[in-house]
Amino acid sequence: MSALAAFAIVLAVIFHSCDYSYFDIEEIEYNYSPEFALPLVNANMYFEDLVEQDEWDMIEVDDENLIHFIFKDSISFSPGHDLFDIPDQEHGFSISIDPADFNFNEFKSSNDTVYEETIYENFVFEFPGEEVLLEYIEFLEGLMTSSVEAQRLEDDGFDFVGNFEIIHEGEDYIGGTLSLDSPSEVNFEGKTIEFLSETQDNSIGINIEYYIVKVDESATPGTEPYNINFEHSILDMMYKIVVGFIGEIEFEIGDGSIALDFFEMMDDADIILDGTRFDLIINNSLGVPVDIIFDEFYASKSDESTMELMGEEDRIWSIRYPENIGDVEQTAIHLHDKIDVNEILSFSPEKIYYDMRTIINHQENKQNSDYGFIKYDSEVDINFEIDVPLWGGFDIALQDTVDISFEELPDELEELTLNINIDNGFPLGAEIQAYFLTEDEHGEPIENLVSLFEDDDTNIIDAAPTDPDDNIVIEPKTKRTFVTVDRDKFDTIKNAEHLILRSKLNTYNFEEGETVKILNDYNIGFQMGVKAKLSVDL
Amino acid sequence: MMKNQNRVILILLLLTSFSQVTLNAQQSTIHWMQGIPQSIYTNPGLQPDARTYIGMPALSSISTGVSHTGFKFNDLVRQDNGSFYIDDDNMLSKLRKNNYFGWNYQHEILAFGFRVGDNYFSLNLTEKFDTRVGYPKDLMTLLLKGNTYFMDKDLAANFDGTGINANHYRELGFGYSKEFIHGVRAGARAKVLFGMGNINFEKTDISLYTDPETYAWNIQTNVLVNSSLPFIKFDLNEEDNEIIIDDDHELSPGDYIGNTENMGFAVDLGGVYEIDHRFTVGFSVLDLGFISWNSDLSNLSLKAESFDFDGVELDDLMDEDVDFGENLADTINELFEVEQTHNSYRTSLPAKLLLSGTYNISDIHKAGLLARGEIYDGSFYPSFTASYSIQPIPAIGASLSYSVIHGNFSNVGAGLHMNIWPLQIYLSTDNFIPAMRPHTMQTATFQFGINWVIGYRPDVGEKPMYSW
Repeated sequence: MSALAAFAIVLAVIFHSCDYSYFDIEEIEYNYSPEFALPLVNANMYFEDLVEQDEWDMIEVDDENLIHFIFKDSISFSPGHDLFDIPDQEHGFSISIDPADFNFNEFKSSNDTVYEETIYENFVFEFPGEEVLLEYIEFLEGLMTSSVEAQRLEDDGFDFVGNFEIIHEGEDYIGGTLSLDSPSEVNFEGKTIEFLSETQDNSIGINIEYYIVKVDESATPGTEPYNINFEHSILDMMYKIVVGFIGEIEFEIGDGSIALDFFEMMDDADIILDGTRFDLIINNSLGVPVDIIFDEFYASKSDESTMELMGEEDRIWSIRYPENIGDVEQTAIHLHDKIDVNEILSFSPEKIYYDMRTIINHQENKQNSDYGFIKYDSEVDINFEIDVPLWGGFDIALQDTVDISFEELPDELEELTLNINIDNGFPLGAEIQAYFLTEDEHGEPIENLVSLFEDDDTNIIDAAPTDPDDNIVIEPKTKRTFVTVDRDKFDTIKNAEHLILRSKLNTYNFEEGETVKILNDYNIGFQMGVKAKLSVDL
Repeated sequence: MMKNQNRVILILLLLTSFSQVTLNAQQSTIHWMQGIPQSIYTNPGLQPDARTYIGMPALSSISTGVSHTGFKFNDLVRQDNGSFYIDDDNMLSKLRKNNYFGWNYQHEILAFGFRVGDNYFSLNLTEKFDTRVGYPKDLMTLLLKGNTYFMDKDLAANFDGTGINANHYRELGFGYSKEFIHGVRAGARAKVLFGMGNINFEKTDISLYTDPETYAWNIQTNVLVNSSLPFIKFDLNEEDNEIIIDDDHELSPGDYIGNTENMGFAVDLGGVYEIDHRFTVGFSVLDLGFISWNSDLSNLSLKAESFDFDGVELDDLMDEDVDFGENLADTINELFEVEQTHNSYRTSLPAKLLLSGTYNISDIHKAGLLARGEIYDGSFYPSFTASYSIQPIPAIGASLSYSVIHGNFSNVGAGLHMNIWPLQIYLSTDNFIPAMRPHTMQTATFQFGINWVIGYRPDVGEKPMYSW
C-alpha cells in the first residue's frame, strides 16, 4: 500500500505542475535582425572594357603595348572633272560661192558635180580661265555635230556634199560627211585631240572638201552668189585626261568639324600628354600644283570658347603633285610641329572646326601657270589623323548633380555596408564623394544633408605606382573601402532631393609632374559586396 | 493585443513542438509489460504472459507518436516577468548539428501468437507510416542570423541533412522465441516488407561559404531525392527546371494497397537472460533491413558541383534593362539544374538498439531500466528510460516511466493493461507531460490496443514468467 501511496503522491505532484500559460500569450516580442552578405559586382576590366564599343575603332596599340587614341577624318575634293570642266563648244562660219564658177551646162545630168572646193577653218576651244592652254584632251565622251545650210542652192536644185576632217597635232582621225539634208555626227569616245601648237589658242582645224551636185534635172544656177553656212558643235564632253597649262582654279572644300568625344567628359582638366601627333596626310593625284588654304582652323568647347590652332602665316600649304599620269603624291603636314598640342589638349576641345579652300595653279607668286594634267578621276584626299598616346598625366575634377528620391527605402533596412575591393593595375587614382541635398522653393539644391563617405575616406582607388624611367606600372595597388550607411543616415537620405557627385581623377604622382603610360595589358579588378542588416519587429 | 498572424505562428510552433516523437514511437514504457503481447515487438526474445493471443483485427495495436530532436517550445518562447519574447539565440543553442521533426503511425491489422512448450510463435501484419523532416542547425542559423554569422567565423554553412524522408510500408512479421536453456530466451522476427510509397532525400550535401573579404559565395551541391509515389505522377521539364504534375493520373485505392513491387526484408533479433529470480537483462536489435523501391520511380538530382557566385558584371549592374534580382535568380536556377532518372533504389529502416534490465522488487513490483538508441541518417539518437511497474493480479498491470529523450528531461510515461477475461485492453504513452506542460515537450507517443489473451494466469504452483 505504501507503494501505491507513493505512486499517488507522484501523480499528484505531476498534475500539480500543470502549466498552460503558453496558451494565454497575448503579446510577444521579437525583433528579427539577420544580416546577409551578398556579392554585387565582380569585374576585371581592361582598358577596352572601359570605353564604349563604338569607340573601339579609335584605339590602337603599338609595339610597346601603349594605347593610342586615333582620331581620323578625311575630306576628299570632288574628282578632277568637277575641278576642270570642258564646256560645250560651238563654231559657225559661212562661205560664198559664185554660180558663175559652176561647171554647168544643159548636158549635165543628175548627180553630176558642178563645183568642188576645199576650205579650212580654225575651231578655237573656249575654257574658263585666262591661263588655260591645253596640249591635248583624251576623251571619254563627246559628240561633234556638223551641219551645213544653203537654202537658195537647194531651191535651185543643187545639193552640198562635204567630207570634213579635224586637223590637229595628233594621229587620231576625226571626220565625217555632211550634206544639206544630212548633218554629220562624230563620236569623240576614245579620241584624242591634240591642239594646234602653232596657234597657241587651244584651236583645232577643220578641213572640208565639198562638192556642189546637180540634183534636179531642171536645176539652173542663179545669178547671185550662194551663201553656205556651217555650224559645228561639240557637246557633252567628258575627258579622261587634259594636259597642258590648266590655269588657276579656285575650289571651295567647305567647312566642317571633327568631334573629339574623348574630351567631352573632362572638365577643369590639367593634362600633360607626351608624344601626341596631329598630322595631315594629303594624297594628290592632280598633276598640277595645289595650294590648300585654311581660312578658319580652331578648336572649340561646348561653352563656345575657342582657340586658334595656328597662326595666319601657317595657313597656306602647298602640296606635292605627281609628274606622271596615274601617280599619287603624298604630302604629310605635321601640325604638331606648328602648334602646341599640349596647349590644345589642356584646352580640352570637343570639336575642331575648319573652313578650307584650294587653289590649283595658285598665281599669287607666279607669272605663268604650271604645265600639268588632270585626270577625270584625279582627286585630293586630306586625312586628319590625331594620335593621342595614353602617355601623360592629368588631374581632373568632375562634378554632376542629379535628382534623386530615396523615399521608398525600406524601413526594415537597419544598416547597409558596401565592401569595395579594388585591385588597381592602372596608374590612375580616384576620389569620390557624394553629397545629398535638399532644395529651396525654386528647386535649387541648398543644404548639404549628409555625405556618403567620411571626408577623409574618399580616396577609393589608389593609383598603381610607376617606374619614373619608363613610366610603366611597377605593381598593382590594392584598396579596400567600407561604406556604411546606418539607420540615421538612411533617414537623412530619405529627405534628400539632389545628389552632387564629385570625383577627382589623377595619375600617379602627377603633382610632381610625373607622366605615366597606359598599357593595353593593365587591368583593374573591381569587387563590390553588400552587407545588409535588417530589423523587423514581428 | 497580439496580432492574429502571430497567434497562428505561436500555435504552429507549439504544435510543432508537440509533434516530437522519436521514430517508430518509443514504446519504452511497454517494454517490460509482458502482460501486453505487443511488448515482444521491442525484443523478439521476450515471450508474452498469455499462452495464446489474438489481436482484435485492426484494433490490436494503434500507435502514433511525434518527435522533435531540436528544441522545446519554451526554448524559443521565453518568459521574463510575465511577458513573452522570442529568444532565437537560446533556441539555436539547443539545436544539434542535424535535427528533425518526425511523425509516426502504426496500425496493426492482424496479430496472433501462441506458445508450444518453450517455443513461442507470433505473426503480425502492420501498416507503418513514418515521416521525418530534417533540418540542420546551420539552416536555422542562416535564416535567423544571416550568412554573416558564418562569414565572421570564416565557416561554411552546411545544410547536409535537410530534407524529407517519408515512408509507408506494410510489415508481415513472423516471430519465434525459444527458451534455449533455463532463463535464457532468444528470438527473432523475420519481416517481409511491402513498400507502398516513399520519399527519400538520400543526399542533401549543400553548403554555402561566404568569403569575408569579398562576400563572394561558394555553393557546393550534391543532392539526390528518390521517390516512389504511385498516387502522383510527375516529370521534370529540364528546359525550365520545372516539375510538371500529371493531373490526369489516377490511382485506385486497391492498386495502392495491393502494390507488391516494392519488396523488402528486415529482421529483429533479441535475447533475455534471467540472471536470478530478481534480475533480468535483455538486448535487442530491431529493424535490420531494407526496402527495394521499384515502382513509380523518380530520382531527382543536382550534380555534385562547386559554384562560385562573386557578383555580376559591372555592365549588368549599371544596365537598367538588367534586373539584378532576376539575374541572381537565373544564376541560382542554373546552379540548381535538376536531372531526373527513373531508377530503382533501396532504403534502410532506421535500426534500433535496446539494452534493458529489470529488478523484481517483489512479486508485484518491478523496476526497470532501458537504454535505447536509434541510428538515423548516420546519427545516433539515444534515450534512457526508468520504469516502475506493478501487476497486483495477472489481469491488471500498470507502469510509470521516466525518460530522457533528445536531452529532454520532461518525459513521464505510463502504461496500463486490463484483462476482462479473455479481452485485453491496453494503452501506453512514453510522455504524458505534454498534456500538462505542453511547452516543455519534445516527444509524445500513444499506443492503444485490444487483444484476446488466453492462458495468461500461471498455473497453480507455477511462477509467472519473468518475475510474475
